[in-house]
Amino acid sequence: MVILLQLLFSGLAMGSIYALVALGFTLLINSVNIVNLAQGEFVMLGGFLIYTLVTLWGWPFWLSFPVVIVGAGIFGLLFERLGYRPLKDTGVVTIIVGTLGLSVFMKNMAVNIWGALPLPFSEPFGRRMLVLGGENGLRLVPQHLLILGLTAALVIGLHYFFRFTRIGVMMRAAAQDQVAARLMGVPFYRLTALTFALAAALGALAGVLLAPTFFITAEMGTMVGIKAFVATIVGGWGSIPGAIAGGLTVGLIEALSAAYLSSKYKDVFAFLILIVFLLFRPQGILGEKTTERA
Amino acid sequence: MTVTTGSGQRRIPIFWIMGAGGAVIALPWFVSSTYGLVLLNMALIHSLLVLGFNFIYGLTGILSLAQAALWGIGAYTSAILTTEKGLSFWLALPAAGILAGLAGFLLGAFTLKLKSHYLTMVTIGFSEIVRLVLLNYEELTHGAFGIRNIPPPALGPLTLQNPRLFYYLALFFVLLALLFTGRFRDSRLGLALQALRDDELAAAAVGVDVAYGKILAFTLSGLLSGVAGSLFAHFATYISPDLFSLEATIRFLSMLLIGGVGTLAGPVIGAFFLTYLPEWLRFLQDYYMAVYGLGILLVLIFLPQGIAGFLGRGLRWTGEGGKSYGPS
Amino acid sequence: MALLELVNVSKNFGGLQAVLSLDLAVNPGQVHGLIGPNGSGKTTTLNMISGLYQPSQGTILWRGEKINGLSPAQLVRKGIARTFQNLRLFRHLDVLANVKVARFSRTRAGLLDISFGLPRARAEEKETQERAEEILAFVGLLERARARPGDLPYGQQRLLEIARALASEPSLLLLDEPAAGLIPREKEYLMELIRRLRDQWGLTVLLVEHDMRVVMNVCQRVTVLNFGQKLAEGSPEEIMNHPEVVRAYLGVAKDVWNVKAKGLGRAL
Repeated sequence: MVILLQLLFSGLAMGSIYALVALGFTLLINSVNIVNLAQGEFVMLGGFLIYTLVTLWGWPFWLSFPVVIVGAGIFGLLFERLGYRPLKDTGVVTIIVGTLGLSVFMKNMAVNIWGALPLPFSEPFGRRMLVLGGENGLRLVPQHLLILGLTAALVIGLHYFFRFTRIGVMMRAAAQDQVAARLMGVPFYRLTALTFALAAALGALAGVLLAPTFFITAEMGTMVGIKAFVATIVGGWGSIPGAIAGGLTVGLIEALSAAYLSSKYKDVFAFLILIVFLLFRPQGILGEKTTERA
Repeated sequence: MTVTTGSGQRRIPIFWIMGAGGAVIALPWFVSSTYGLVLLNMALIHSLLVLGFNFIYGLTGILSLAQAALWGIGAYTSAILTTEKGLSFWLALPAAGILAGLAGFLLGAFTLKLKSHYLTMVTIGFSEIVRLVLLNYEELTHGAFGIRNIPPPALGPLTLQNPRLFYYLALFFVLLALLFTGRFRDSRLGLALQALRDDELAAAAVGVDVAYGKILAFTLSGLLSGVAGSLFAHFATYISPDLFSLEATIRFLSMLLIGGVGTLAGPVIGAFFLTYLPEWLRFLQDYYMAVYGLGILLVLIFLPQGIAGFLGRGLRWTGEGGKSYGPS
Repeated sequence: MALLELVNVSKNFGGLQAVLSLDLAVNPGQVHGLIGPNGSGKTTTLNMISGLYQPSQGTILWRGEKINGLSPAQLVRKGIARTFQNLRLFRHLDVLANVKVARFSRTRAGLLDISFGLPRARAEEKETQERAEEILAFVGLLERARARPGDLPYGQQRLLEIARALASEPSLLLLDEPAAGLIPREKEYLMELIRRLRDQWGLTVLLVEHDMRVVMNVCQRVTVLNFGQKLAEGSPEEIMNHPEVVRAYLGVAKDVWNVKAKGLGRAL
């Protein structure tokens, strides 16, 4: 029972990571209809940046955290300007491939800058463990609690942002109908840039939160990115609550399968989930069916 | 006497054809270093792979990122059959092609109803699953250790261990693939696949069997990759799972993009270019892959038709040659 | 017997009733017009006939055989071909290849035939080439056989759509607003083409169109839809004078239309 609870916690925590990345992913899909295959690399970016600031430069964690997020946001802006805009009108597939190129570029630059060895990171909680209920009680990893808490706060915050702030509403409008929004005075290109910045920031946030759990490597983002994609489909393509739901679902199923079925093939489960959903419920948990017009 | 090229726009004197043919045949004897010969053979193996990739992406317009996985299936099939089951290379190679083709077939069948990004992601998922199985199913694949001592192909007493001789084997398959592709593209099937690429709905509306077309494209790309995999296994004599990763697929995609998506010679041009490029960019060392990724972006922006598209109208992937129809 | 028959066909999309209880019979060798204001269900009807949508209710009969549920490609094999309102040409293939693609369902060469250049493949490819050239010549596009669709002026692109549909050897041709966007000279050409298709090739045509002059000139029979229901049906002259039709289109009474029509008729 205790084990099950612990599994649930770690599953949900990992799921929250997937949810964060999936959220960034979904924002880009909704606003500019691109599938960003480099989303996972933003996670990696977050990991390496926090390592640099805290471990290499000795900054305090709680100061470095926002700096990393902002830095990633700026990186997102750069990508929008240099990577997305020139390719914008060349077709969806080309853009997908473009993000692939970005992904390769980022991974290899990371190896060049920080080396190929996995880097350990243990901020902010070190090796401390929270134990509830005595010796054989519930062992909780504080990092997981941080992840869950932050993600929940973020989701609520974003909900308000999109519902009630001017910028948020403009972004939703632009996502639904680009032309109409622009005719209404929505500064589309600036919003697109903002979306990229947000997606990058969300990815980096996930990276910072993930860093203590795994080592920081150039590859750390790839799997996360792919699973976040799975989460997007599971939750419902283009749905923001879907991204959250999907992420949590994938995280949970993965944790439970790894514990009760086979931990060797842990990563395979995410793909099996993907295939099952694509075959039987392609619109995901919360998505809608769409048909093509003649 | 002249020979017309695919689209009939150019008439090439037979003399040139013979000259070029002679050069191709004599080529390995002009390369002196072993490493140079390795590169040459690898470029041919890559050409075959990218020709396979061209079927699914260039011709049919489906961005499947499973190419390296199909390659790996072919390589491992051939390696296991020859090392564990003692089969001859000449049986293992077709087996590799068939098995990889079958994998392609299944992938195509699975993804029939899916559209662009969903489909691409499933192929990525497939690719990762294959890699993970190769890595973890140690009883069969030896896991991370890979498979060693894969025997080179043998023709009676002659073993093709010498890269100069292997070259002709690889060349044979590449030429075969080129010949097939050239014939295929203008046939009813080739046109049908291209119609699927341009507008799937309209293709169905003019009678094209969409399911058949997509599955055919996947199967063919699998078949060619499988053969390329077998060739690779018996050339390199050692294979391991990490060779057949998503990054490898991205390299092949780049070869296709740079060479010219959908053209006939593009895959070969791109394969050779990007096989030799690391050598030319040696000085970049560690930064090579980073430049690589950037390069993909730049090619997409500035050279969307690839090298082949940029160079020649005569090698284009449309219609057939011969007649002119008045002023146009 | 009618070539194509719709019996009590309805189509709804969620809450929207696009077509309601439609009975339609298209007789062989006729050009049958399908008209109505925007949103009246014309294209939906066409889409149901060509297999893009399933009817929510009712039966579609082809030569007496029920064809509900067949896919577009299957219907092509049965002999129904269509064009699209918004052109859907294969932009990376040249004009000739665009037409050749449509021969897919009439040819059978397989992978082996093609790979080894077997006689069946070669014979079929020769026939496809000839038929495609024939059709292009018929519509007047043979000269541009090597051009890309994107290079053609709009009117010729529309002709290419039609040529492509013809290549699948249909018995029934569904034309979805073929005159849209054409200049008067091109419309004349189109009307002539449709007439030739009917008279020389014995083709049956179901024509969805907004341009009344085209409809009056080429159709033997016209069905009028309004809000998804059949409003009237008859010869073009009968329809022109039908009070309900006039009201649906113009929102005015018949006598007013008569006065205007005389003046308009000359200008058209």
